[in-house]
Amino acid sequence: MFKKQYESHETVSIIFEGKNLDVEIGQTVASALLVGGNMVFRSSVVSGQPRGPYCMMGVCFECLLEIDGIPNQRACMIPVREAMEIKRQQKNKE
Amino acid sequence: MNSIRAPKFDYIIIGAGPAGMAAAITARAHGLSVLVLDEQPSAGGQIFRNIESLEATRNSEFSKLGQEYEFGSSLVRRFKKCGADYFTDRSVWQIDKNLQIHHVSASASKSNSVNSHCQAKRLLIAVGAMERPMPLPGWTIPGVMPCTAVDVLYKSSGLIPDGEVVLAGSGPLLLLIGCRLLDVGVHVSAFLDTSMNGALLKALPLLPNALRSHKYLTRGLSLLWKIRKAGIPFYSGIQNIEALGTSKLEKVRIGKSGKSFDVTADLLLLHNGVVPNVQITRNLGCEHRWYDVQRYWEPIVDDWGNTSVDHVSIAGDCGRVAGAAISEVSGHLAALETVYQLGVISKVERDNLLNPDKEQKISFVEKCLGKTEGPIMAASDYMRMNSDQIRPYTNKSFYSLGTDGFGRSDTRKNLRKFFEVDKEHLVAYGLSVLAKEQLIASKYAKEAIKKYNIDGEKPMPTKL
Repeated sequence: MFKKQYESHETVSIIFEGKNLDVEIGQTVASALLVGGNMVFRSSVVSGQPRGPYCMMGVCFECLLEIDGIPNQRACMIPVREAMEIKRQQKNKE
Repeated sequence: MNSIRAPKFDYIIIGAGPAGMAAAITARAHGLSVLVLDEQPSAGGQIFRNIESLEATRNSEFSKLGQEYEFGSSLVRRFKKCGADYFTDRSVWQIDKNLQIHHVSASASKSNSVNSHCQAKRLLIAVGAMERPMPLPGWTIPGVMPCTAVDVLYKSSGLIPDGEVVLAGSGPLLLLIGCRLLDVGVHVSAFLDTSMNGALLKALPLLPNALRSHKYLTRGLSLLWKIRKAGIPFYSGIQNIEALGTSKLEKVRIGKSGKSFDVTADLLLLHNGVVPNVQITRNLGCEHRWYDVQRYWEPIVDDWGNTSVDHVSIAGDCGRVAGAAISEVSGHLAALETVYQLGVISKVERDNLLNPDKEQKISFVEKCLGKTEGPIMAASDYMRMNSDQIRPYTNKSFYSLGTDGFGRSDTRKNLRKFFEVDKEHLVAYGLSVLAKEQLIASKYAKEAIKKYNIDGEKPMPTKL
């Protein structure tokens, strides 16, 4: 859905759903995941339907993820950090 | 709430966009202590998002964004130098009635989620605008976004859409973003104009007014022309749009006059104008009204941005959406009002600073006393504070006498004598002042003190 317009140099390594991803520094978690083709960030707690980033400016709360063990984090507001551990928020989590 | 005492500021500003930055610059120029709290990692707001790093590292793209960006980067530079305390990455989550403001890291992690609070004398809300949410069937499917989201992704991370893009809605921003997408080689597979049939006709009476700002009309037409020329299928009068897909967007169903057809799409970008972000003003209990022209709720403010809540004002697009240039001016305006309200400048000075090109106003006091010679002396049967209130309105040296302290007041005459505001003391003190200003020789003052039997050893009433 999205691609980088230019190639970057400096990267950090983040862990998304148990997999290592090398992503460019200075961007938010939401944009780092979108570039990798990850569009589903969570499922609706009501309907279970998939949800992903919408407003990209911290207003809509659609892109909530679990980051470093803290749930309900706005992925569009949080810059990527080395060794950040990110999980999707699923309705029926085992 | 928290045992640590809140740091105090004259002026706390929420938001570091054009309005917030301008207000901080003006308030600092008048010596106020200023704290700016912003949710984003860098200054500039949404319009000038990430502008510093864009200019430094992606200069070729920066120049593509247009002249407005030169203005933005100079504003950011002046803001960074103005001496205001500036915290990035802070979300304001609570404002108490006494203007104690609680904020927390916007990007909370275990190490930095510490909650803090601070105390303001005056508060400026400059949190800007947001996309008008316009629900349509399937709008929660990943791959449906407002068009400004793409702008944010481009400015902050250099991302551009990949695959088939459909643009839908109305308004100038949609055209602008459509053209930017074409510039960077994105494939736009359809442009859906949802303006109602006959809207143009309805707007016709406004044309004479619009022609006065023909620059905007020309710009709009050139954007429209660019989209048409690029051969993008352009559908006007669209009544129904539906996003289809399971875990991601696959198709957009377009309905017009009872018929419908599908186009494949990876990204559907919506835009129906922007509305003020009124969360904070509503939570504070500021009065709002429905603005029918643009169809949104806006806080009710006076010319200076003051809301109905004491010491709380707003600036920029969180009041009435008008763009970066007007937001900057409204920030200066709100800050000057605060500088006046906090007693740093007089009302006349505030008005003069706002109208540097007009004839400068003169205060009533200055009109009365401006042409007199020598110092001004004020005497009152009340406390000195009473006459001191006119001190800021004149540029002359100002001496005030009053009845501060403890003492007798059995008769008015005794009171005046005790507090040294009777006619004898006024003459002697007046001559001393003139001698101090070297307008007469000091012997005249000494003579008067002797003549009127003024007791130099009598204790000061304020020291009793």
